Amino acid sequence: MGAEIQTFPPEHLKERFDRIVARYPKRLAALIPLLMMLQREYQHITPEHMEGLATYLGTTPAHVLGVVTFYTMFSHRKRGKHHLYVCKTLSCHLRGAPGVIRAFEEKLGVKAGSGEATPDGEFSVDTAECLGLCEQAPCVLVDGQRFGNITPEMVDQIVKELSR
Amino acid sequence: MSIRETRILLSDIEHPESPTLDFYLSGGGYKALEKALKEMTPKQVVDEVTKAKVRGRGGAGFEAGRKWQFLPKNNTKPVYLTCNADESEPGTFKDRHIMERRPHLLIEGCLITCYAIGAKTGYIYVRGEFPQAQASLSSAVEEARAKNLLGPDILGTGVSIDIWVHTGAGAYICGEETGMLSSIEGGRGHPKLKPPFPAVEGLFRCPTVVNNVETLSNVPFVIREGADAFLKLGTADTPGTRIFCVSGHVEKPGVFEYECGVNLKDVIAAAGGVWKGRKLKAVIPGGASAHVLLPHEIDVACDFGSLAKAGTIMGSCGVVVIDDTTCMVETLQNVLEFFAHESCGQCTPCREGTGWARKIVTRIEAGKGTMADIDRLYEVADNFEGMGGKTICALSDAAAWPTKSYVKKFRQEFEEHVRLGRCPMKGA
Ligand SMILES: Cc1cc2nc3c(=O)[nH]c(=O)nc-3n(C[C@H](O)[C@H](O)[C@H](O)COP(=O)(O)O)c2cc1C
Ligand code: SF4
Ligand code: FES
Repeated sequence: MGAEIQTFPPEHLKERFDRIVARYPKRLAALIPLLMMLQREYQHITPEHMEGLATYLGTTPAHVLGVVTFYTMFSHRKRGKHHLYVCKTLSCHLRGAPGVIRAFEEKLGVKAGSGEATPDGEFSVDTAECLGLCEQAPCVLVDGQRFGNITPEMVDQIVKELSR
Repeated sequence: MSIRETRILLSDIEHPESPTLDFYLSGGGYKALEKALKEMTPKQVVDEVTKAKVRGRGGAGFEAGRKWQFLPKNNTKPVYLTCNADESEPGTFKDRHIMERRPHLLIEGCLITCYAIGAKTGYIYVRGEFPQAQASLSSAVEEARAKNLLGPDILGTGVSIDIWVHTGAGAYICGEETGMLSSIEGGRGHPKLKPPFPAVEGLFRCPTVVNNVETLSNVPFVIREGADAFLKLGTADTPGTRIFCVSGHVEKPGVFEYECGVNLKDVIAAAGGVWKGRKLKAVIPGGASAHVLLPHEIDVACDFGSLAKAGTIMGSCGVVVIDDTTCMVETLQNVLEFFAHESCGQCTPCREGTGWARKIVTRIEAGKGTMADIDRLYEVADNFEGMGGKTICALSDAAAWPTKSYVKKFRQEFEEHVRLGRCPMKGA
């Protein structure tokens, strides 16, 4: 795991990191945007990331850890290449979210919110609170892509589309 | 009565070119910015917005112009604008439509506001679950920068303003203004005690204005057309239009922009009415935090004052429609799962209380509750309702209001769960 990154920030992200830091009068303000980039690149936040970021932004690893654990979009465990956020809140619940969540769990053989990815590392499933997409309830956000008005019957098709 | 939309914020959102700078300019875009910078002093801009009585569209309805006037006078520190684009109140999705389809409208609103309050930097805090909105805003910022509408020496006026898009990472509490500021500073989204209010000590301990996306998107119209034109729209209590987000059990969920004061019943009818020919059971008028309304209570004008008089809130204008096949105990359970999950945990009444309430309602829904549990649920909510300084922020109120109103208005249904030992809506 640690072999993934020798230097911090990782070479290919360095320029983008520096550009984001420059937007703020205090370096620490870049923490969440940078964590979002790392989460997207590596599907999780490693202890090396946290130490690297702490030094890079001038804070402690403990502070970074506190932030990582507070926000639902960060994870210590490696998520699937495609991480599904299935909305479970009010409007989606009223229009059948529980059936959709069950259908994804059955199709992929992982439990929603368990943090566990499929054995091939392709998929993981999370339930999410209101995704702000309630006019398309029930809905899923995955890889920044949205699927709306989902029925349990559509789950096969969505998984197939993502696997392509 | 059938009603007609008045589209100011959402005009032309269906047009494929709607997000581009060229399209925005062709409709008179950035004319208000030019007018403000070239013909008005910052004070005149503040006065115009104050005169227009633009009430905050984030939920509380506080007047934007008055908020801007709270900034300290002889201030030497930098001033910041932070635009609240966290939009996480369940049932709310209006800001997303503005950001994705009319990003320049929001950016123009931010720029004029920065000029008015003397800010050189504005941050738009967009929730992490809105990658499309972030992308749309980011490219609009770059387009505006390339045309000298943003950045140094805007349009040769000597005024320099930068706007940056900042991402959240999944936490409802970052929609609360001080929680959002903690988050931008690189911390957990912990709200802070007020006072000091952000206007006095906000981002990086500097004077800061926090406004919602829809609030700021009204500013270009007010400056271009004048406060009087804005005051002609809507009601005396709430001038202007609002974007209604209608979801749940309706035939045509979506966003609809009406003048404030429109009847709630007509808004629901315009969204196709209750789906599948079913009957109406309940309506949540202003996001999941709002007190629930019964069918006979929805003949009400939608502005802040009228909905408050009806015992609920206009809030975020997230209208959730619930049909008669729905179990209200299960619905409250869903709402309380949300609030218990999103409580940031700093205040004991909120952290423990929302958790207890969730446990009690879950027990009742499962048919394992007692009659005493129903009263207990109400009392627990009454106890964590923050009014009176029990908690740092209003999340605890937001959880208490639905809880108390569901128990009060649907008490029979709660009692039936206890009597039958199961949920009556789920068959024997
Ligand atoms: C728990 C909680 C969540 C909130 N979430 C949001 C939100 O998602 N978006 C928003 O604009 N305001 C939200 N608010 C209101 C903000 O604290 C603040 O009042 C608002 O952004 C001010 O802007 P306005 O005056 O333009 O409405 C929330 C408040 C609370 C207590
Ligand atoms: S009221 Fe709840 S959400 Fe608000 S600061 Fe206290 S614990 Fe956090
Ligand atoms: S409740 Fe699912 S997107 Fe809003």
